[in-house]
Amino acid sequence: MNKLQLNAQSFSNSIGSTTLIGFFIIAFILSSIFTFIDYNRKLSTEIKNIEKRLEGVRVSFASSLTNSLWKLDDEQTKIILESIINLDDLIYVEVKEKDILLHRVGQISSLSTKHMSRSFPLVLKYRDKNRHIADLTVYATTENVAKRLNNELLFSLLSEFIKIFIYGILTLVFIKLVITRHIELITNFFKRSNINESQEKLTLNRSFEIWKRGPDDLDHLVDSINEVVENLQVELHERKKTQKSLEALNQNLEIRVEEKTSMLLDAGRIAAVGEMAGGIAHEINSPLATIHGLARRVQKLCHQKKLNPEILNSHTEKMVMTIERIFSITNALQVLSKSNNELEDSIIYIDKFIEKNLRGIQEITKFGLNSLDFVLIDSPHKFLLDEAVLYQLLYVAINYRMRFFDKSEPSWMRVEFLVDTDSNNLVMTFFDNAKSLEDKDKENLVESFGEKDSKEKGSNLISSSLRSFAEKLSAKILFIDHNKDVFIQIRIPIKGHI
Amino acid sequence: MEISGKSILIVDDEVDLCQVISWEFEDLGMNVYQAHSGNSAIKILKAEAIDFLLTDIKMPDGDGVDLLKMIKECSIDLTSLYMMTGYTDYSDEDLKKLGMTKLYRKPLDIEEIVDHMQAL
Repeated sequence: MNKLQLNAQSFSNSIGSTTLIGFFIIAFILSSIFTFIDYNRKLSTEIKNIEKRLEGVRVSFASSLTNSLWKLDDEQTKIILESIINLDDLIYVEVKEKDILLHRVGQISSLSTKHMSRSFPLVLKYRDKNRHIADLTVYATTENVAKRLNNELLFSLLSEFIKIFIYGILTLVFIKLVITRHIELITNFFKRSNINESQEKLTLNRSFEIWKRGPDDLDHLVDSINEVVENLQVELHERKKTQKSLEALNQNLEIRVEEKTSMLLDAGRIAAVGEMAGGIAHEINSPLATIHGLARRVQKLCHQKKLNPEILNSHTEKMVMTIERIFSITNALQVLSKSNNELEDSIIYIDKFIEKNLRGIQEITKFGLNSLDFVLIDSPHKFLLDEAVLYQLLYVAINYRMRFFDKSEPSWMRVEFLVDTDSNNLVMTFFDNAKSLEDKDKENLVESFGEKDSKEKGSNLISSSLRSFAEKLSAKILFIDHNKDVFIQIRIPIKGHI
Repeated sequence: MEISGKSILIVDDEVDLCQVISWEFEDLGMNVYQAHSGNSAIKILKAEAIDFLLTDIKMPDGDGVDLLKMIKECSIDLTSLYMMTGYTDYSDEDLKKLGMTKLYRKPLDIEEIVDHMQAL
């Protein structure tokens, strides 16, 4: 396993620089505070020392100075005064008698405020009496102390700064070696890592850390990272596998749904056609049986020589009428049998369409409906549409609705045809036994012909067939379902009324 | 069995077909009654002594199967109960369970029915 190498990072961007700068600032501030405290402490001590020296002048020199003044020994007086100003920080001394300056030694600037002074009365005991001879005033300066302490302060600050800098650099190097470079390595590991591919494990180079005795926090962190990455890769792999299987399953399901939908539509058409075929078979057989019976009757009467023109005319007339009935049914069948996917628009005269097809639909729905009527609402009645598909849609819609009738009651249906010039739609509205359906409900038609209603009614075959024909004409089916009472309105866009 | 003088009820919603079949049985000397729905047929069966019944299955107002059920419910005694159809979803066996004697397909062969009656 290859060990990951540490990349060179610019110092300015590393965590070490931030640590060092922070360390410098905090350490320098703290160091400065303590140094200034120390400075003030020393200054105070030095001032006290000056005060002590001033006080010491009285103790040490007052007596001898008083004597030398009493004896008017100017030489001795001068020596004493010079001895006084030789003391540290004392710069000026004077002797006055009632504001008359008798002696002075040293110099003092009147502008200087950095000095301290102390006056002592010089008293001589003569013949048991204390006699005030003069006043001694001593001046001391604090400038020397301040200079000395300032120098000390500067030196102290400089040495502290150098110490802090050296400590900081050493700390930074140590942190860099022990922590920061590992963090950088871990960062690079995550930057370079691609969870989608298998990759080398994270390993830290800690061979030079001779003080290390066993696994520490960094080792535990690396172990945890490796474990997490490994788990993520396993998890991702599993998810990819699951996703692939789901995709495959989904694809399979889509194909199956398409197949089933196609089968359902086919089955719907077949069911509709099958149901219709049963009715048609019966409806054609019955008139055929009538014609057959009438023909045999004519034949029989002929053999018995009982056939007269009146009977013959009556029988043949019945035969012709019955044959015409068969024609109306076969005409309807011809239209229904058309299975072109391409629409063939032709001019439809709606009144003729109704006249031509009503009888055929009445015949083939006779056993589900006691009464079927088509009504044309006064409106423009010529437009372009595929007549065969319109007929198929009408027939399937009637069949669909018939399934909900209560068979114990007589059933009726009226289909109203209206050409809505505003929306350019042919509107077919189916009124029927839905007695409890109120008019206000019929105004709230919804476009719903979904799975729910068809499942509940168990008529999904017919409904899918109805949908299929509606889609062909881009028709909208509006629908209200109140238990057994179903109200349907179909709106078919027409190419243009003429 | 001699069928002359026996009575038969023909039930079909096709009025002309009903008439044609009636002429055939009338020629054989039978008393023929006609009905065009199951409901009207049951009224005649209750009112008259009918020996034979020949009924269509598919009819708008009370079909042949409903008629069979009503005959069974009302315990109406018939010698034979024939059915005729152009097309039906019902099986022969199911109809026999309801009391039907024999099923004939349209167009009818009247002689076949007569033969069956006479063989009884």
